[in-house]
Amino acid sequence: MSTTDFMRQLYSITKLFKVSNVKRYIFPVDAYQAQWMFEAIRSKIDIISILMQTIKIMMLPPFPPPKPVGKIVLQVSKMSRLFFIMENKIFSFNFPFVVIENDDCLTFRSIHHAKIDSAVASQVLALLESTDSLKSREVFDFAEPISDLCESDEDFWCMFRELLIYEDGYIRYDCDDVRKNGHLHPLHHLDIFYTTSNTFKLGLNGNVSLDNFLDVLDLNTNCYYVTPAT
Amino acid sequence: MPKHKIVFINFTNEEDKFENYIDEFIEDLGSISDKYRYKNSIGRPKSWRNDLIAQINFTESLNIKEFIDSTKIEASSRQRVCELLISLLTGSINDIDKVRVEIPETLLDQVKRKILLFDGDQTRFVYQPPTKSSIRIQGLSGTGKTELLLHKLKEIYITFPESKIAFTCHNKILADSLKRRIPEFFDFMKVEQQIQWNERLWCTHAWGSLSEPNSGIYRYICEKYGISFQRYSRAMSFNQACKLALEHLTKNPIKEYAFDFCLIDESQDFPDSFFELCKSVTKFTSYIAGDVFQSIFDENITFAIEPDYLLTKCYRTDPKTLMFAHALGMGLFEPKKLRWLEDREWAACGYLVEKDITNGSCQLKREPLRRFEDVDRSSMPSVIISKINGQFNKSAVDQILACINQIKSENPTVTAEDIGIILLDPDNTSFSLADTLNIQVPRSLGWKVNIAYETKRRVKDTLFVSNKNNVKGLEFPFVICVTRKITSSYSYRNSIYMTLTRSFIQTYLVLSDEGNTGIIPTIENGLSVINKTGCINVNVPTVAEKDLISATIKYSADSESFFDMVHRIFDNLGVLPIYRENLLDAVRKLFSDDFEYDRLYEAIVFNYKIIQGE
Repeated sequence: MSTTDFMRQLYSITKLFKVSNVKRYIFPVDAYQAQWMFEAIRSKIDIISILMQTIKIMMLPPFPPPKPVGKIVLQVSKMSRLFFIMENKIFSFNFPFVVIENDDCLTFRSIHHAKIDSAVASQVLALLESTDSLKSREVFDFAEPISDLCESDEDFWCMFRELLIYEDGYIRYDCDDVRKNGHLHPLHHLDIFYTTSNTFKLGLNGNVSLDNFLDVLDLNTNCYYVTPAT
Repeated sequence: MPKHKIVFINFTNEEDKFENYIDEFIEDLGSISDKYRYKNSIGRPKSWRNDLIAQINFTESLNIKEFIDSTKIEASSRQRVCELLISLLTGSINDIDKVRVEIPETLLDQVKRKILLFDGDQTRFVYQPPTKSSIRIQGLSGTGKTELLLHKLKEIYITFPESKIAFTCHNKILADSLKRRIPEFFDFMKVEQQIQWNERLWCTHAWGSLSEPNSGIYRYICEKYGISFQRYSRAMSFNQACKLALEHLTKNPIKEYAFDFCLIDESQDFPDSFFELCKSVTKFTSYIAGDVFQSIFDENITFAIEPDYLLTKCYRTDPKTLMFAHALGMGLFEPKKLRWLEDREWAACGYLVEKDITNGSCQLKREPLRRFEDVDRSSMPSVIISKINGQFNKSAVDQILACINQIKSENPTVTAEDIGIILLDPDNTSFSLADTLNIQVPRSLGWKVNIAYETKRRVKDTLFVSNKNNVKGLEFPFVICVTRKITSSYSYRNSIYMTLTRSFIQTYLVLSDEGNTGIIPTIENGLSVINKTGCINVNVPTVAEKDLISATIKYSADSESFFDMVHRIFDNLGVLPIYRENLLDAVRKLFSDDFEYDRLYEAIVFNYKIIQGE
């Protein structure tokens, strides 16, 4: 896909609303936002962190960037997923919350938490940042800050536990001209999973648009088949 | 004497000895200058001895005034070199690469490259040898307590080479930051001994965790003396844990001291039992440094124990900003004051009190002090009140960006990390406001944003944005405080006081015009009086008013938990037990961490009526 095509696609929002029973919300992003969104994902913590930062954007009234370089798409149907799209890169993971539409922004709730707002997202981010919570040998270093938070928000722990154990279903499309290496690292490929001992690639014959990518993941359309390299 | 030469006066007739003394002194000073790498900037002794050092024989006929005039240094570049020499002599060593010898031109550079000099009290604290088992130092925030403790630590570490030292404070984040600062400070002070962590020096927060014996001072004491370690729970306060440890030590007297010295920072956060515990396991001296008060609404700041050193000079904050912050925090501009101090307490906060008995008025002013005296600041107010109208979040973001642009235009060398933005409102709007800034600031200014209540640290080259719970220990050249409504809650007023004083140069107070129509004219007027006259003008409250202030504080949010206050109101109203849980849930949702008795009372009465179906 050429750069012009990509830019055109960024603005072709209406095209994305054609499927019935599927809700798609689109948020164009600028270069600064793209920087943290497209940092390498290496752990579940990275996924939760991006998820929290993303819902913070989605809870605000829209601030369209003067120079968009990519977009976030939230698709809600039988499959609920977040998609992060930049030129030659798309990645996606499961969106674990229920979406509520308001006049000019979205709000969220989960099975265990009635209102996941910016304050809750910040508390989650602070826990993930704190070295003690998740790295300490002492279980209380993990439990105490959560227990403290529960004093003012009794559903916090159940919501946080849900985030820690939910299956994120990470998948990424990449077009990597620099590191391409025959069938070992095809120019166009999908990366499945993110940890070093799990991740593997599936080669693709050509580039992938958001529509193709969505089609691969869509339960209501025909499946794709994997064939050996030739 | 600032801007004058270093003078040697001979009170004897022994000229040769006097000359020798001066020669040796200059030689030593030259070698200190070499040690701390000042030499490359200020030159060898021969380049400053002639014009910065004077000597004279004392005679009865000496005209002091003439002599002092004759030692005046005219060129500001030479004044700066002399100041650097004084800093070497008093041991308040500066990083010469940072302060540099050239005269800084802009105000911001003046602040960043200010030569730090100890005053008399500070020098005495650092260099006086330990004389008793505990030495207390108190002062408002910004008086340099932590810096002094670091200097004291260095002195002890070098002077007592085998000593074991504990350095602690209550808060874990501050303790971590202290631990990072010590090696940098020791390197910078050219301490040659290696830091032997957890063998000679323990720097950690006070409590600690079970799995790691060196994770807290209390934890280490438990390990050393076989005391059963208590972890935090709602039923176990730190006070209680320390008392239990003390009981154990009384029953099982110690055979060996855990530490030779103990340095405790932020002592206002600790119960006395912790000081007792430290004292009982420390061979020589505990140095205890703390703020005059934890909150401006602390009841007893007339000290139970007189501090050995009382630091009243606040070098961080402009005195006018400090006065405005105290006045706004304590409600001094308003008809109903929230806090009043007695004369001795005002003095502890560095105020000179002048009362006019005829009309019951009172002037509070601060002694002038040498901060950035060479800069003409008359055209530059230290506090700017910036009112906004319309939808709060949108207009606040616009106004914050306008303030930053103004700071940038007045200070072209300003960088993102020179400014701190503190959002004071307790509700969710502060979070959305920070999220909006996180999007808009990079777009408008190209600066990255650090949301500090998430990262819990300062990040280089980013704009600091935080809320009222995370301002302790922070300071910036410029601070922008943002609030929708100035409430009367004590925790809010204490936060606004703390936040306003975080700036070296200027504080902007961005506040909504609509919610504050009553209070804005009074605080604007108060600020203008401070700017014009350099003092706070207030009427001394009557005895009845003082009693009311004090009685209200007794039942404040700071001394009573939300849960306790709700139950006290339930009891007063005779709320039936079956309704209590639902009522508690309802008011908990209405008031997060910011509650005051009157509003809570109203809400409970209102909801109780609804629940009962009236």
